Amino acid sequence: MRIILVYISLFAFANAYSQNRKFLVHLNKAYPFLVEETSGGSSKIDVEDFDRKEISGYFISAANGWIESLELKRLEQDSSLNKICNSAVLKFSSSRFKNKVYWQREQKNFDYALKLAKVPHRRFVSFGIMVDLLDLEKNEKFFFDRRVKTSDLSLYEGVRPKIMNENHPDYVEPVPLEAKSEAQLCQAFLEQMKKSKAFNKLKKGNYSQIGISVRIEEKSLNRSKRPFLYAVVIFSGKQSPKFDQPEKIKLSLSGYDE
Amino acid sequence: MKLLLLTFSLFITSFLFAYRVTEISEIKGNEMEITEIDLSNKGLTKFPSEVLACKNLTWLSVANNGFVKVPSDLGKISTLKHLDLSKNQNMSQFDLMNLFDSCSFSLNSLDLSASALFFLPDGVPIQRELRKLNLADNYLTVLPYSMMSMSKLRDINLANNKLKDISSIADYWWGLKTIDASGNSGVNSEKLLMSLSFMDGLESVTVSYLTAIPEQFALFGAKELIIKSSTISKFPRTEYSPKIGKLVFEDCVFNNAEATIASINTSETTNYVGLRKMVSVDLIPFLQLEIDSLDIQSNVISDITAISEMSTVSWLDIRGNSIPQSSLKALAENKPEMNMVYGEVIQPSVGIAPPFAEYVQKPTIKKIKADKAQKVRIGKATFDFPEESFVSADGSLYTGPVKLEYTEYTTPEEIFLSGISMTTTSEDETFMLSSGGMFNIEAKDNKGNELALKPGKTVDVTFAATADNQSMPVWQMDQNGVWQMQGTDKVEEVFKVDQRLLDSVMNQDFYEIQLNQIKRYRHRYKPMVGRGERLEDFTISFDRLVSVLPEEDVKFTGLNIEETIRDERSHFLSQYTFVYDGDASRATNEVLMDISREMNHKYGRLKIKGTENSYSKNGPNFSPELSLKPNNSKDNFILTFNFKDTTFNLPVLLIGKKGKKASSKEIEKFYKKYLISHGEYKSERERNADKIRPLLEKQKKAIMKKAKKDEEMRQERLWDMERKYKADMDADASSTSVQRALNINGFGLWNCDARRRMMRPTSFSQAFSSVAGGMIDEEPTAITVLDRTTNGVITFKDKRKAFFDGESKNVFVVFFTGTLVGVYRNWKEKMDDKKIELKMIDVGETSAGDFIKELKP
Repeated sequence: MRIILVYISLFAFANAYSQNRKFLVHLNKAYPFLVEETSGGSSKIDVEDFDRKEISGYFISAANGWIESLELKRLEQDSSLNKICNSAVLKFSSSRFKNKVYWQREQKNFDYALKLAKVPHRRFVSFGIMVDLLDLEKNEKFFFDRRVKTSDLSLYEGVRPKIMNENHPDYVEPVPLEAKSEAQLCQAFLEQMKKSKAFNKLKKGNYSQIGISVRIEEKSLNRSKRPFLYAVVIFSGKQSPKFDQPEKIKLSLSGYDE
Repeated sequence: MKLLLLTFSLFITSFLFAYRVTEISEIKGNEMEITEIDLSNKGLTKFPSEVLACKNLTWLSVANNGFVKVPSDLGKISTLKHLDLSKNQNMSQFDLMNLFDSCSFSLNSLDLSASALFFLPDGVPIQRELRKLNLADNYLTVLPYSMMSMSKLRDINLANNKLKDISSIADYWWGLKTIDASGNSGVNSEKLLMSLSFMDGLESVTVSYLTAIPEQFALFGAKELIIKSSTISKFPRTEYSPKIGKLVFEDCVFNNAEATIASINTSETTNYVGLRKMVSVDLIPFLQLEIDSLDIQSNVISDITAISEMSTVSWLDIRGNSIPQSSLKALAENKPEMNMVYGEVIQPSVGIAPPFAEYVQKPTIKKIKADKAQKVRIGKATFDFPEESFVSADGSLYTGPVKLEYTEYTTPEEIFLSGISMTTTSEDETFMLSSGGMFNIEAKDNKGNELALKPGKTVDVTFAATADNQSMPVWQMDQNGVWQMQGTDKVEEVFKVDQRLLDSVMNQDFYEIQLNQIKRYRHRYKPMVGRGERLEDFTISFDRLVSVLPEEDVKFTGLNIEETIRDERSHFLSQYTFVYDGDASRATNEVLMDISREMNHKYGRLKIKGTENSYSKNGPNFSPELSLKPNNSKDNFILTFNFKDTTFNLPVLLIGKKGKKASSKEIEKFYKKYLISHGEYKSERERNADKIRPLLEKQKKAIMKKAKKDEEMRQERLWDMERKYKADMDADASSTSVQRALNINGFGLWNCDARRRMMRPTSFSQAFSSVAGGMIDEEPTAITVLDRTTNGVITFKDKRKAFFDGESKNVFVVFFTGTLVGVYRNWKEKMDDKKIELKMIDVGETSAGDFIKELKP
C-alpha cells in the first residue's frame, strides 16, 4: 500500500512539475498577439469551426463595456498578456479552472511569466473561468443522441423519449439544442467574471491592461455534457505610481562628485 | 591682381619650406620664417624666450638642457607638432602641468624621456592627435586614466619606469604599432601580451620580466617581439604559435631551451631570432635552430666555427663579440653564401688631406702669459694650464707671451672640410671613428716659434661635447698622421641631477595625495543573499557592520583630511529586504555571495572584542554604499551600490511585511521615507563638503609653497653651477649641457672618438643623377660619407667599394674632376636601388659658409 502511495505521489508530482514546464516551454515559443475587439452579435457560435481569437475579442469588448458602465478606466489590450493567457489556457489542466485553491498556486507561474515576457507591470490579477456554451437554462433537462442529425451538438431538449424510431407513428422529433449566440456568450462570460469578483478588484487596484484567451473543451463536445470553454483573463497594472528621481548630490570637490 | 596673387603665393610659400635653426642668435629677425628649432644640448639654464616669438614653429627640441621654468606661453604656438623636452631633469613639473592644461597646440609627437617625471600631467592625454609618445627613463608609477582616449597613438615608449599595470589602458590603443614596456618590474607582461594579442597592425612589442607566455599568444599579430630580462620556461606549442617574424631574446634565461627551439623551428613565420647578452654556454642548444637570420650580438663569444653546422642560416649578425679575424675567415670559407654582419672593409687613411684648400678653417688666436697657472677658454674648450708649463724647442722653460692657435672640429662638415683622417686600425681591422669632439691646439712664442708642453705637465681640458655619449677613448695624432690612444675622457653632464638628492618638486606623494586626499570613514554594509523559489527570485538584504566612528564630521591632520559619514540613506535601505527582478541572475548571485564572503574574511578580524556588532573604523574602506532610484518604465527599483571599483545596479522589488511582494501603499510609504533619508544624507555630505573645500585649498597651497621653495633652491644650484663653468665666459661663446674632461700632455690634434661599426652597412647604387635632370655619366674620383648620426667621416676612392650606414642620417659628397661636386642629403635628395640624386655645386663659385650650409640639415 505504501509503495502504491509513493508511486501515486511521485506521479502526481511529476505531472504537476511537467505541467509547469509545459506552460513555460510553450510560453517561450509563443509570440505575442492582439485580437480585434468587436461586440458580439446574434449569430450562433460555430462549435466546429471555433475561432478563439474572435471570441477573445468579444470578451474584451464585453469586459470593457461593463468596466465603462462602472465608470472605471477602460483597459488596454496587451499582447504579452494575451500570450501568457494563451499558453495558460492551452497548457493548464482542467483542475486549475475548477478549484480556486489550485488556481491560486499558479500565481507564481504568472509572476514568472510576466518577468519572462518583460511586461513592464508588476501588479496583476488572474482569473480562470469556465463559460457554458449551451443555449439552455441551467436547470433544464437535455439528452444526447448521436443518431439524430438535427443538432450540431447532438443535444436535444427534454428527457430522452422512449420511441426513437423515425418510422414509428408516435415518433416525436426531438428539439435540437444549439450553442449560444455571441451576445449570449458574452453575457455568460460577464456573469462568471462577476462571480469571481474580478471587477471588484479593478476598483481597488491601478489596473490598466487586459489579456484574454479562450479554449473550447473538446471533451465536452459530442457528449452527454453541457459544452463549455475555458477562459484565462489577466488584469495588470503598475504596482507603484510614477516616482520622481531622487535629487543628485553635487559636492564640487576635485575628483569627487556624485 | 596678378601681382597681388604672386605676392600672396610668395608669402605663403615662404612658410612652406622648413627653416631650421640651431642657435638662439639665428632666431632674431626670422621669427615668422622659422619652422624648426633645435636647441638640444646647449647648456641653457633658462628657456629661451626668443622661441616664443616664432609663431609658425612646427618642430622644437630643447632636449638635454638645464632650465627649470617652462613658460606657459609656449602653449600659444598653435602650429607646433613636435616637441622634445627630453633629458631635462630640472624641468618644473608644475610648469609642465600648466603648459599642457592651457595649450592650444595639437602635437603629433612628444618626447618627455629622462625628465625625472613622477607623474604624467593630465593635459598630455588630451593631445588627441598624438601619434608618438616617449616617456622612457622616468619614475612613472601610473598612467592617467584618460590615456584610454588616445586612440591615434602609434608609437609609445614606456621603458624603464616604475609602472604597475598598463594593460587596461593599452586595450584602448587600437592603432598601436610599436610599444616598449620593458624595464617596468611591476608590469604584468603576460597580461599586457594578452591585451595586445587582439590588436591588428602591431609591428613591434618589447616587454621584460616575462615568466610565462600566455595561451592567447596565438592571436598575437605583431611582426617583432623583443623579450628582455626574462626566464623562459615554456613557449607556445606549434598549433598556437603566433605570427611573429622577428623574435629577440635579450638577457634571458631558458629553462627548457629544447622545447623553445622546437617551437620556433616548427613556426612558419619566424625567420629571425636574436639572442643577445647571454652567457656563451647557454647559446649552444640554439645551434639546433632552423631559421634564416640569426642575431647573436653582444654575447662575448670568441669562437663561431660551430655556426657552420647551421644549414639554414643565411644571415648572421655577430657584432659586439670578441671574435678574432681567423675565426671569421674560417667561417666565411666554410659558408661563402652566408651574409655576415661583423665589420666593413674600410680603407685606412692617415694624416690630414683637406679636400678644398680654400675651405680650411682658420684657427682662433688667444694670447696669454706663460708664467702663471690659468684657465683659458677658447671656443668650446677650457684649458687649465699649470704654472710654468711651456718650454721652447730647446727644452728651456719659457715665460714670455704665448700665442695659442686653436681650431675645433665638432660637426661632420667641419671634420670633412678639415680633411683629418677618421679611421684607425686595430688587430687587422680598420674602424670608423665616431667623434665626440676634436680640436687642434698649438702654442707659439712672440716670434712665431713653436712651443711645447713641459714634460710631466698635463693640461686639464674641459670640452663642450656635441652629444651625451658614454666615455670615449682619447686619441692624439702622431707625426705619421696615425691616431694613438692616450686614455679615456670623462663625461660630465652638467645638469644631471643626483637622483638621491632629487627634491621631488611634484613627486609621487603629491600625486597620490591628489587622488586620495580625503579619507572617509563610514559604516559598512555586507550583502546577504537568500534563496527564492527560482534562482532568479533570490532576495537581497544588507547587514550593517557598525563601526566606531570619530565624533568630528571633518578633521584635518596636516596632510590628510578625514571625513566621517553617518549615511542615513544606506542605514534606511539596510532595514529592508528586496527580491531580485532581473535576468542573468546566476552570475549576479555568485558575485554577491563572493562579496559577502570577502567582507567576512576582511572585516572579521576588525571586530571589536566584547561587542556584538562593532568594528574598528580602520581597515579596507570599500563598502557598498547603498542608493536606490525608481525605474518607472519597468515598475521596479534599481538598487545601486559600489564595491571596490565596481558599480552594481540591481533591479529589485520591495518585499512587504508579510514576506510577500509589497502592496502599492507600502511601496509609496517606503519611497517617501527613502527620499527623506536621501535628503538627510545629501545635507550631511554638503555640510561636510563646505568644511572640506577650504581645507583642500589650504593643503594644496601648502604643497605648492613647498614645491616652489624647492624649485627656487634648485634654480640657485643651477646658477652656482653656471658660475662655476662660465667664469671667463665670452658673450658669444656657446656651451653645451655635456662636457668632456680629458688630460693632454702635449699640443697638437686631439680627438675623443669611439671606434664604431655600422648598424646596417649598405653599398652604393652605381649610378648618379642630377637634381636638375639627367644622369651623370662621369666616374667619381672619390666619395666621402658624412655620417651625421655617429659624427663620422669616411672617404672612398673606389665607388664600387663604397658603403654607408643605412640607419644613419647621411650626406654624400661625390667628387668629380674639376670644381663640381655632387651633394646628396638623405633628408632632401632621393635615392633608390638604381640611382642617387645629387645636387651639383661648383665649389669654385661657392663660399665656405654657403657650402657648409648645404651640408647641414
